[in-house]
Amino acid sequence: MSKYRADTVKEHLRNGVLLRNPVLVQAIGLFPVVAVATSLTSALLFAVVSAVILIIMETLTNLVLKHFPTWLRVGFYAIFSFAVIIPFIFLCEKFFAEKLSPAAVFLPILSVNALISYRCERIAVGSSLKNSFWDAVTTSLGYGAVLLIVGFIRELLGKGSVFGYSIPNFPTVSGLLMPFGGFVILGFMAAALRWGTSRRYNYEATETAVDHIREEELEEKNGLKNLFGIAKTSKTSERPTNDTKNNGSKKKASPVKSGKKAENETKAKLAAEKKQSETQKREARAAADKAAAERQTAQKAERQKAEAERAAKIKADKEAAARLAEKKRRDEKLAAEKADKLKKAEAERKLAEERKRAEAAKLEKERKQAEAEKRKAEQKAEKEKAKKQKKSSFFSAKPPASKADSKPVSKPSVSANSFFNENDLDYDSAWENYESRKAKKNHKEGPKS
Amino acid sequence: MSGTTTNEIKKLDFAQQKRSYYIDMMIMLIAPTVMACYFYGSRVITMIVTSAATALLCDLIGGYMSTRQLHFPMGGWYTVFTGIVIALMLPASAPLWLAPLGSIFAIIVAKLPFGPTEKLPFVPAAAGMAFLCICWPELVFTYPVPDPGTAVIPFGDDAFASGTSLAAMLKVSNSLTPNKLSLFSMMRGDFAGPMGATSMLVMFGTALYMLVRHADLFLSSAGFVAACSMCAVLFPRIMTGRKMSLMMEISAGSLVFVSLFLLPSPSRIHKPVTQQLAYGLTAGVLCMLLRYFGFYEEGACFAILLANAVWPVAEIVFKRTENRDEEFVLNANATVARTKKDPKNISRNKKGGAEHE
Repeated sequence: MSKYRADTVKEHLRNGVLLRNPVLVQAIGLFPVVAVATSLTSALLFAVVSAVILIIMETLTNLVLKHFPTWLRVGFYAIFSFAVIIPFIFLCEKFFAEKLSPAAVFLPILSVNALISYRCERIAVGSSLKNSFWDAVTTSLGYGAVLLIVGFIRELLGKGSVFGYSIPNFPTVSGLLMPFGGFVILGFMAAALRWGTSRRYNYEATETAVDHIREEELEEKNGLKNLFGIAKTSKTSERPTNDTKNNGSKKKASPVKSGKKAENETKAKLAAEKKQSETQKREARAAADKAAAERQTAQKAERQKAEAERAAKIKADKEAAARLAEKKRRDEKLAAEKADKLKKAEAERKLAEERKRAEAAKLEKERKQAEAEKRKAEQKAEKEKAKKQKKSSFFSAKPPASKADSKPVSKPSVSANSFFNENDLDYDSAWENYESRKAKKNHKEGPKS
Repeated sequence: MSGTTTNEIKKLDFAQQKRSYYIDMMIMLIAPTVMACYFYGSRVITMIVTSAATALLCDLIGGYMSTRQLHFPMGGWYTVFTGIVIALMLPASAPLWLAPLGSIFAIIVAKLPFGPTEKLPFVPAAAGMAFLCICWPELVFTYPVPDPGTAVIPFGDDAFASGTSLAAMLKVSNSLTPNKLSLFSMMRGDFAGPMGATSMLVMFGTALYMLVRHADLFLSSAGFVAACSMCAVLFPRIMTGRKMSLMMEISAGSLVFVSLFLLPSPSRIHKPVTQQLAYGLTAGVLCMLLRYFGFYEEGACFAILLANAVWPVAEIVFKRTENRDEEFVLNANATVARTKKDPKNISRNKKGGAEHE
């Protein structure tokens, strides 16, 4: 049951209205919903009365009735519920006789509503006053909400009216006013609630009536054991008295002495025995009472122990949750720091790369600039050289240079871009080769022509 | 098929049986539809088409909402069948919205929440029809007089003239006089009643078809009609004799139609013969009880729903007895096997017994 434990009002509200809705999930207290909630007015009346009874009964059970044995308690639920209902019946008869008379007929049946005995026995007996009060309030809210929704749908579709005010030309389905209509609407509402809670919460968190029955079977077994335990002790406590009675009767039958004296003696003896048996009875009763008181105190201690355990568990859970949250926070912080570091490193690396790239570009630029300057200087030097040569040739009036000599001078670009050195060219040998190849060719072509 | 297990073979077999059941049911519906068209004209077709289309639409939307897929599974035929059956059980003068409303209830309340067709606890068509009977009894039980060749006047029209159905006559213990209706007219279905369920000849033909195609399912229908007949003969509601009581009870309302089309549902395909017969008999007795003591003149749909509700408990009893028989047979086999293995045991026992004697 830990998953349905409710400590705050919000949790109580969630349990009472959604996860443990008395009608749609636990299928308790179906009669008013199916048979009586055929209009919004009657549904409202039943919702209010049920809420008042449930709140009063759970509080009363928690305060007083839980000290009574189970078999007696269940009877008290019905009696006290009826006592609460009586004023409502008189109120209905006096003030709303016309409007509420059809529904008010069924009001006394609420005293034996399974919802009241179930919630009282399950929650109010074993938990604190605050818990049982909030449970009663939220359960009443859940129950009332279902009653009102069913009443509204049935009145609208079955009678074509809302709160008694009829809607003209509204198509009606009179079958919905019958109990089967109530069951059909309840079925669809339960399915919708289950679908909604399975989407919002964990699917397993929704509690079914079957789970309750299983859990209650175990509880009932224990309860029955306790009940039999009481019976056993009472028997044992009564035993000595029975024995004494038997002994007394035996002795009663045995007097044989005759005469008045003997009679008096026997009378005195009998009186003494009776007295003794009475004292024994009293002692046995006292012992039984003591045992019962002990049992009650033991039960109380157990309950307190369970309560303490529960509180400790809640505390431990909270601590564990806090620890987990702290750990999570720390982990998140570490992860954030790590991510920051990584980001910084990445940025630095990028910056270094950019710087490197800029330096390389700068160096390249400088190299290119140097090369260009060098080339310019060379060209300048060559031009100056050529100028000088021209000047010298003009003033010296020397005969012009041979073809081989003039070539490299006339084509400075070739010398600058050529793969070989200008001085390595042997123009004379080349010319000779050319001449010889031409002669050979002519020699070859001669006979043909 | 070498890799298939026995379960898979069983499943395949069941799927085939289901498929043949759907096809046969649709074929069987042709005859009553034709007869209804002959008596009441084209309005019947309109009613049937709207009802079947609404049922199919509801099924498709419901299927899409639950599985997020638009598909037309084999159960779709059952949906169409449900829509047609609801329309055929209504009077021809019923408003056109009545049959679709019954189909919507049948599909949304009695079919979709319960999963596949073979696991449906209640027959959807019976649920839809019961819903209509409860909500609009005046529309469901007011029948027009059949007049071939003339158009049916809808209910509520000034010119509408209602006929007296056999079920209504039986309800007030009125007997049928020979002057009013001939036997041939009775067999042909020429009297006021549900538009597809009055013709006994057609019902007889469909019953024969069912007997040939699905003899096991026919047993439940036969049991239903037999129980009703027995009740009609033993406890007649009219004073003109048991024979007339039998004739009127069987022809009245939609008793035979319900026994042929609603009683053998897909959930009853694999059931043993004894269970089929017992189911039919139970439903028949319930139907007659509802006719005798019920509020409405026709209680066949309610009887089927009651039988559906009661039957799971009866099945438990059947299973227990079967298990007991099986246990008995197993124990007997085990003792026989033991004695075969150790024949001395018996001789010793015999000797011991003799000595003791």
